[in-house]
Amino acid sequence: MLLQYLSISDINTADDSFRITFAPELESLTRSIRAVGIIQPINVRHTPENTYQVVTGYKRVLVMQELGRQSMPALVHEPGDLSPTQAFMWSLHDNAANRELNLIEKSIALTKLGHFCSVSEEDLVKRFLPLFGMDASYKILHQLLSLTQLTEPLKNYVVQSDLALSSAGRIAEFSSSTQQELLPVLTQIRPSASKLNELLTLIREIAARDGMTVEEILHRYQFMQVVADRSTTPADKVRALRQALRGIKLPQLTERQNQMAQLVRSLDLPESAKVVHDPYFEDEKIKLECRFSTPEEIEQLANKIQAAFQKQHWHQIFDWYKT
Amino acid sequence: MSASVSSNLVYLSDASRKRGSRAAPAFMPERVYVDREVADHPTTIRILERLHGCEADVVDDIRRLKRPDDIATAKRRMILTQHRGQAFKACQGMGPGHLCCGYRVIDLVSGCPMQCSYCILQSYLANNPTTTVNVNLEAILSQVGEFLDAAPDRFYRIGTGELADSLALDPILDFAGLLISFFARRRNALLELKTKTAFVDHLLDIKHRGRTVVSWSVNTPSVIASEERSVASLDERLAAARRAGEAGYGVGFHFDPIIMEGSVDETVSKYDEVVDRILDEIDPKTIAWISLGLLRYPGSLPETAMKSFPGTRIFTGELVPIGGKFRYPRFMRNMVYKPLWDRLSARIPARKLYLCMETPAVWNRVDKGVRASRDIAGRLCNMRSLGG
Repeated sequence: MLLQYLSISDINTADDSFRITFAPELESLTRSIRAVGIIQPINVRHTPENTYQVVTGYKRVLVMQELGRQSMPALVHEPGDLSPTQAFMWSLHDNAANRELNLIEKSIALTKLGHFCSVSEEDLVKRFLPLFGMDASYKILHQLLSLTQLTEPLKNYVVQSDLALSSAGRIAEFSSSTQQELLPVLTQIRPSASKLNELLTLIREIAARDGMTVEEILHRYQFMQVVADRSTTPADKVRALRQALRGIKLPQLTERQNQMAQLVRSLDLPESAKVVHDPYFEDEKIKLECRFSTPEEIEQLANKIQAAFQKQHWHQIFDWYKT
Repeated sequence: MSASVSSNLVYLSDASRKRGSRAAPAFMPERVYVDREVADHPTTIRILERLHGCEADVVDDIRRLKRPDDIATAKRRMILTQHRGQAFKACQGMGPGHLCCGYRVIDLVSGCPMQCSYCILQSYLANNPTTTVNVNLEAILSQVGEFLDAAPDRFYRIGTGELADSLALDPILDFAGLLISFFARRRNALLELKTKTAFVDHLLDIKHRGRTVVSWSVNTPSVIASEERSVASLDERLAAARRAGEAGYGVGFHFDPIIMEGSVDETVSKYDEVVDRILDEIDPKTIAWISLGLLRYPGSLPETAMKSFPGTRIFTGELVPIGGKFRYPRFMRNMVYKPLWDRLSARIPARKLYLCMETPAVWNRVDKGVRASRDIAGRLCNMRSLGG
């Protein structure tokens, strides 16, 4: 191992053999290097082809390139002194020990450990997931490994929006072209993890049921217009998409819920009262919730309830509800 | 002992292979693991003889066997062991708010060589998917005998088809004959052997004394074709039912799971055809019971099932989370059950029909006479089930 000042043009940044870093945040490092330069030399591996592979310090190399510097200090390891497996383990521990890896970086690290270092699935789960601050679970491992199926723009989206692993894993199940279609939708509606998972599940199930592609579903039901509507908030868009997708996925239940809403409207209850029922009509009991601030409000509700009885509206609801 | 134990391997002699050639088994495991504690059990030896030289490992602790990575591999293996706990118990299928038919189950086998997309065993046995056979049948039947003797005034329906198909492994295990003979001597119980196979011919000459019902899970030909593998066709099941009925057995049919394909009317129409075929081809007097049960499954099932059935659409229907499972909403279940119930009850007594895992509200739509679990048990748990 020798400490040398390497010409930056001699460092092969296209060789990502040992790289884990994805979508790095470089601002603070750039400020630091501008102020005091490189404090710690990077580690590189000198290949028989006379190139230099970055082992640790990939971000420092990027910043130095960006700043137009000509050379930087590096600890140079000859191939016989540092095997590729050792080099990757250095890179892994250098990153994992100093910061929290994002999901894509964890995915890259686990994939390379499996392919590159022949680490068994069991070891990945038991040794490396805890190193990344994750539970030792095969399900989590498989979800992380599946993220290699994401397109580059989606990988960036996952990192930038700090997407939950379960959501990222679901997106990775879609083809590249579908991911491409989904990206503008996701960036405009910004759903929570649970809402996103629900939307993706609904879309996938409708696609499977009707033999359609996701792209066809998005266009056929004009979801892109919902997404592009500038007059609505992201939360409104999520609500509208969810409602529309549930209507397509559960048409008979949706129709029944609409019928129930119509019957409840026929009761003409004041706003202080609300009829609550099991959304799936499983529970036979219906609840009437009321809030009052004056005796007059109670009287008004009682009169409305009585009037609905006289018109047989309550009976209609219960007779219909039992069917 | 016709199988020789050498170090930790059991090899079958040529002579035992010839003696074991009674009937070609429909299913042959590729590998058998024998719990050392039952290596010398007569049932173990008899089963190994039937396996025509399949190599078997004797293992000290079957719990330490590595779990196969996929269900298909697990299904090609078999473990012979003994049941250490309570192998005779109440049916676990009852959910909150459901009426229960009072069924009891004997766990002789867990796992099944057949494969159905909707089968909850894929989830239920996910941690122990290898077909496991409890060879200590005599001890298990002793539990059953003690239970029945302790309540001579009560009548029970008892099945072996909760964690396995009752007959799928019978060409190897030959348990059904022993069970039928055991129940033939009981006064207060009926045995149900529930299957999707046509393996009944070896049962036809057994003296069952009317204490055994052989029953079939049935479905529409299209569901059988797309969602069930390594099973008998509907034709084969009905032909086997006819043979069993002619041999004096009561026969049963379970429309379970009923799966909505298309609209409610289209669904009912497809199942009507199966109803008509059963009632046209099977002597109604031999029918002990018919059950109806719409598809329901735990939330974990689709992910597991779609590994084996990636093209299945059964999980994309209008099923919603109800009581810890996914089910069709009540109003949809009503729309399917009512016409099927009416069609069946027009030709066989309604007391022979029941809904599986249903609520009082749904029962009320098909049969107002059933309000509590005891009403169903009162209809089915008696020898009248086998009358016309």
